[in-house]
Amino acid sequence: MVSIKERKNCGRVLAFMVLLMILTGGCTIGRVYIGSEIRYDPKEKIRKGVTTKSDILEIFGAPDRVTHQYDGDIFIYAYLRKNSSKFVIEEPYFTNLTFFSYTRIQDKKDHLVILFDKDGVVKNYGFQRGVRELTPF
Amino acid sequence: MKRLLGFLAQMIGVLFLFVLLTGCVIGRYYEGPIIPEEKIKDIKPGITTKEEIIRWFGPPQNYLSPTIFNQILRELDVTREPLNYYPFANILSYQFNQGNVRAVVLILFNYIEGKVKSDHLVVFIDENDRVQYYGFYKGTEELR
Repeated sequence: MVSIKERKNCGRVLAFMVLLMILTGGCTIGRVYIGSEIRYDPKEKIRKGVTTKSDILEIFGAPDRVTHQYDGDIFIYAYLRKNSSKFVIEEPYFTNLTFFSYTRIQDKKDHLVILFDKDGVVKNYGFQRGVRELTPF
Repeated sequence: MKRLLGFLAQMIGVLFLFVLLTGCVIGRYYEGPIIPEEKIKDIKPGITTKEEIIRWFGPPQNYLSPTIFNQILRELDVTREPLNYYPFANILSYQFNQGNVRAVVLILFNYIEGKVKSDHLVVFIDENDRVQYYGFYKGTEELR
């Protein structure tokens, strides 16, 4: 037989757990991936003054954006990632009080910009790998 | 004491199930016509005409801007700019977007993951209305 005292203790534990569940809004982790990773290291594949627009299209595929300039085109490739973490302790039902809130949003992208001259040959390029800087939380 | 522990374990089990069985969300989003890959190998720079490209792949999408898709991304505060931008008449762009969303929604923990990938064909047309060069990327394969 379970004694009355033991039942009371059990009830307290359950009440505490229910209270904790009501109070803790929770932890939310979000991950967003847009686009495709840039397939190759531009340092290995692009040679200024040699690589042509056609070569670039063959190596990296269709660019995400093209800009015309008076002295040649610009191709832009981008891979976007967004990591978000949120931890909230709140009472959302009666008082709508937030006791503690922690939010961290990281927006990073790998970004390749290739500048061509009027003849469609690579004049210059810039590459930034930002996705590696993402941390899990 | 044993019975009490059993009772407690049962209660914790029920609560745990309650926490676990809150929800699971799976969403799929498709936008734009599928690009017929078998036609891509038929594109020959200097030979294939603009007319053929439009016949094979339909109207280019730099004229049919995927605004709904970009609107969703803006609403989600993912990107404020359209993903692709080809305002030029000598560039024909075709794009098929696929978005997969999956989420585990529990009381104490939520995990949401969204992936957007694109199949993307860009064709550059020369002054004689023939293909100058083209590029294709199949991004939706990465979702499988």
